[in-house]
Amino acid sequence: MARINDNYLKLKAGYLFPEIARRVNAFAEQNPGAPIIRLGIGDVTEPLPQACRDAMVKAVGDMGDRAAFKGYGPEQGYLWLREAIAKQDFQARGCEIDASEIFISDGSKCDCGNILDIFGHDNAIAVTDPVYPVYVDTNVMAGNTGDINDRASMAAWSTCRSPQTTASQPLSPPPRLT
Amino acid sequence: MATREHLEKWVAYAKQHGSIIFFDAAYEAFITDPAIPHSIYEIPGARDCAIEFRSFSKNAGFTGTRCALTVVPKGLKGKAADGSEVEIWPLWNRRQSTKFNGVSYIVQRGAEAVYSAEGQAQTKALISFYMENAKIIREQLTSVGLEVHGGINAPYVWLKTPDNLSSWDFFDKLLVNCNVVGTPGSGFGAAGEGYFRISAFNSRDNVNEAMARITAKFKQ
Repeated sequence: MARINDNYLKLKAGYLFPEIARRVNAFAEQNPGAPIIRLGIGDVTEPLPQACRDAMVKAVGDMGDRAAFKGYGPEQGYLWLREAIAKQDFQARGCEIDASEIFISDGSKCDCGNILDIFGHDNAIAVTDPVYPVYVDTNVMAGNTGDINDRASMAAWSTCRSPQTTASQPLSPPPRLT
Repeated sequence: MATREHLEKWVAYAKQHGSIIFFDAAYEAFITDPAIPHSIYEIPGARDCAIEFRSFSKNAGFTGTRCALTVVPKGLKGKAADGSEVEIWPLWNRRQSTKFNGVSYIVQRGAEAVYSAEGQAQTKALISFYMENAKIIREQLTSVGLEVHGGINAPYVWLKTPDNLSSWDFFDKLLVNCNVVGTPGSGFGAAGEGYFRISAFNSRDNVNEAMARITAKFKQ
């Protein structure tokens, strides 16, 4: 039988947001018509800016024009977008960031998890607490932690506590596995 | 919210220990205090020890449209098994080129428009709208005696659960009594226990209605 990635079995019972959805759905089923207001997951509600919609409509037009049509694009993103970002988000704030150092993707969640692909599994990792659960779960999936329920095997897992009132502070060096 | 002094400490720490900081700046657009950096690269030396993640989700409403970016500075290095120093940029470039085929042309054109004069004005208006929601949430929760944090320079308001309720108990109470959904702080880690997060991302009507229901319960 094919072996699975056992690290997935170490994950805590439910990712936070699916667990919220489960409880809300159960409540909604028992109380049909309850006027539920969702201030949980942090999804936006207001329409896309007009400038963005106009640009995308125009881009759809490009795709219908043989001369402007685009097939596979650069994996790193189109240079015109990377240059706009480098200039306005970084260089305008005095940050020495070049367009070639910017990689466009379909989401920060994906990148936060995917970045672990290029790092080893024996790093000491510190995460702030409380924190976006994706940072923790992607490390568990990648095999960078011991059993999440077993404190003794979490030697590589250092936590920086940060009360909501103050920003996190670096602590003493996190323990090393080896 | 990390001030310049906090970030300087982190950068100094990372440089001292050969660590790499993963800096998530998805919410930088909500910063209004000029003393708070928007990017880790505003801190001298951060190019040598930090990767930054950003998103169009929250500043331009791209949660359903999908576009983000990651900054990997050239010259940032890690250590190989044989002890040699290796640049990170080519590794990420290779990873993305092998496992990812880029974001759709149409979406990237939409993201580019964020940087036009109209796009800048329109995203600023969106952010102001959500931050006004955050202000309403802060004021309403404070008015009934709740201990409230955040909601300034960030679109989330954290409250201390009353009567020492656990985060999930407060979640259930709020759902049943007010039909309002928030996020239990304990879901973000052990230090979040006893806290509860309310998001400012909703229509003004819904925010007002949710706050009216919550404050009515606490006034009883």
